[in-house]
Amino acid sequence: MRKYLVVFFLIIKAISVSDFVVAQNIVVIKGVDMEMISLIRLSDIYSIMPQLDLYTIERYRHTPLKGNLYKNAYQGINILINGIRTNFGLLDKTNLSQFPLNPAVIDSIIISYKPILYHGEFSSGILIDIITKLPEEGISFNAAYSTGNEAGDPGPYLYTEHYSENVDQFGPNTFISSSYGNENFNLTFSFADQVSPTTDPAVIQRVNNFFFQNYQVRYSGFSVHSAVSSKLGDHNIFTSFTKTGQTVVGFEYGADLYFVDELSTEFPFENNNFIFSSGNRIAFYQESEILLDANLNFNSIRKSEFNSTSIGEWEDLWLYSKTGLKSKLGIINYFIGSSFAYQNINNIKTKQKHRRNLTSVFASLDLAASKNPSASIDANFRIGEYSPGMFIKLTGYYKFSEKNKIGLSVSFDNPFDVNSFSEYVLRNEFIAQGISYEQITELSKRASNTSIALSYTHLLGENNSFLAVIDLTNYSNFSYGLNDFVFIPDYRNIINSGAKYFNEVDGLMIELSFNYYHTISKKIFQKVIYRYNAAASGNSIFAEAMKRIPRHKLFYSLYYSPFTDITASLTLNYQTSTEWIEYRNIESGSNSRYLYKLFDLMLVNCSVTKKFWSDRIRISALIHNLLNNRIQYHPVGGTFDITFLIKAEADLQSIIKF
Amino acid sequence: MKQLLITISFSLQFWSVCSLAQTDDGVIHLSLNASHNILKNEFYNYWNATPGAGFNFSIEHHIGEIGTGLKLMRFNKVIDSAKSFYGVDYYFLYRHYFDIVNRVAFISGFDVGVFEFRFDDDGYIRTSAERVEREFALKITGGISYLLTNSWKAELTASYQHIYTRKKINLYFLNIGVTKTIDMPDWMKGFFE
Repeated sequence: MRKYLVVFFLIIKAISVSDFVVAQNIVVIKGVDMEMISLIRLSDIYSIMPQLDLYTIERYRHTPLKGNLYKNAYQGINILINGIRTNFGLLDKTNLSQFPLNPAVIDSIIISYKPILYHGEFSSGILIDIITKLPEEGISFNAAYSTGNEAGDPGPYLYTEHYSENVDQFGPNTFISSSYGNENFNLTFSFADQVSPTTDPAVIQRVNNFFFQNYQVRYSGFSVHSAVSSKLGDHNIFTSFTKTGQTVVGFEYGADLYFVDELSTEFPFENNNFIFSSGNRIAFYQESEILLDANLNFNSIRKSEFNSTSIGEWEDLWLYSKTGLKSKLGIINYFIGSSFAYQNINNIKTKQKHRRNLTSVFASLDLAASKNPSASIDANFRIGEYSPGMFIKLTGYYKFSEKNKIGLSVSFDNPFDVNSFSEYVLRNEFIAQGISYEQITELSKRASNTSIALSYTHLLGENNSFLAVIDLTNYSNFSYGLNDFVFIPDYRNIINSGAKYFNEVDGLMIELSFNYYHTISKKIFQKVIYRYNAAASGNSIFAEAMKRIPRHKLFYSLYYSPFTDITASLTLNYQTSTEWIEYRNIESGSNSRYLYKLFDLMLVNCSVTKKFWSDRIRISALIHNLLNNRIQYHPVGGTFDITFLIKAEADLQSIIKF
Repeated sequence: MKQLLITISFSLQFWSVCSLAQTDDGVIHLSLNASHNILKNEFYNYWNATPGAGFNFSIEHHIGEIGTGLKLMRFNKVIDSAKSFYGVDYYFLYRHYFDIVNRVAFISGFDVGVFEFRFDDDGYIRTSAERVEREFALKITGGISYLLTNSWKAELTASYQHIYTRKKINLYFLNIGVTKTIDMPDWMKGFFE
């Protein structure tokens, strides 16, 4: 431990760094980022966020590496829209690609990847807040169409002895949106339709039980977002309906996939999802305002119509409300309130219901009187069905010159919070093993994170900034199930040959990051991020489990806009190899498709966009994995070769004015 | 040889993009060309290529000449188990011209696109999916152009195409063509801005 601190302070003296909110570990993806990388689907933002540790099986659905790793510490993805909770997701998986918004209507995306209290919402995993654009005056219209092809098809050798299977075609992806805006009211309609392949040999090789009709996932959905503002306050409503399997448009069927970490396989299913979210800010008294949020989320999950296995069918209902008061008391700006969540997971086949209530109180205090130093306190206390938890975070900044700022935050949290399906599965799993209800409760209570983060930012002129962060997190009493996955080639199946449980997994994680942002000229911007992550101490099982997190990550991006009608981007993602102890016996008989130790990854993507008709039409050509390296994020996941994509977009702003 | 060609081509193009020497003249280039496969390799154990024809549409931009193109070629099977097919090449193109002497310029460029294999139906193809295969393809091109008149030029180029099928396909072409340059109509200028 001491040696790491010494190393850190040596580095911190040698390197100067930027002016970002860092101690809170928040990243903002701006509209220009999405435009420069020619975003095809929302989850493409992950490719420019090395701060996030995710895996993907089929380049379609992304899951946090720590998501369900610890049985009593679910750390998933929570999606908000304009600060309002949506509970979007399917059981405990959240597929950002399926959030039914046209990327063109998004202004920015705020992502937190450490425990946080954000607008009164606690997140122990990844929190994504999608901030929508304020529509232009009058009626506007946008449509985007993209499609792509992964290299590796047989081509003309299909009919020769060099025969091979067809591989993935991505898309088409279609987004359409229309909006109306005036001074006090705006309304935006979005429609999304996507086709994603499920033909990767690594998936096909181990799913003997399932037949993926057309070997593709079909998804479509629409959303309506409206906002009204007046002197009395603001009111936002977001509603959406999404569908997988038999989609709204087209006749072809394509089951969605749900990868179950505990079984190391995916299940085909179809789903209907409905969301209603409303956020209301009411001016109350002088500088005070009341915030009222409400959310309803309903998933109806059915097994694929071509699936003959006995997997369950579910209905998942969320009801949620939040009330808060934002005001000022002397030198303190505060936001206090409470929220209530109700969830009912209904197993249609067994009629078994899992109902739970989650009540939470929260407070955020900002000592605003003194801008230097500044300080804030965030606290949240939750009472679940049997797993109370808390979060408290103290943050302070001190600016010791115009260009230098230091930040320090200390936090404590019980990460078992917005768990849904995982809690249900966990309880059944433990009960099946004879672990008593009291023991489960005790396990859930005890898991905790204590974290201390120190940041140093430095501005080097107007166009250069550096940022360094060190984050030490102590994991205490985490519960871990060590599975032993084995591939059975004859049955094209993966089985868990034995699980061993560890209920007192402790350790200290150290994370270092260095960020450099450089605006070379008005035409060129570059960014470099390095991240180091390792278990500094702890028991051996903790060290083994955390080896799935890449130790070193290096990210580079270059945005180039030589003329107003042409933009280009180049991004490079490098990460060192990872080990997945649960898959230590997976390689046998798998034709090298399944790996216990994943290779180093070097992913290079590039894109070029030509704009026409004064930026009303944009045509983009993208190459993902330009070096055609083997890219594999999960031991039994697909491998991604060089992929060529094209995108065409029409963007007509204020075509009708009233 | 292949690596050398790629290195030279991309070096020239990188330099040309960085130098931004060309100007936006508000013109359109329409090009017709004929191609013939040269430098035979293992691919020709299965198929023989017949001469093909192509068409390019491009405009002048500050960074060089950009546009799209299409080429059609016929590939006849050599062995019975293979299928004959038409190869249809759709691509975005980039070209840069380096003046050498009066009327003569060196051409450097690349194409990025999709190569489509449209198989002959010999009675064994059951679905439309079996009739067509597509794959990502890259092509680099270099050669000479000669200005015939103010609006016509002749071009002689060689190109190397890499098709990213599971068993990689490398094709080498010798191309000859003519290009007509016309002024861009005013309504079209607004579109390309």
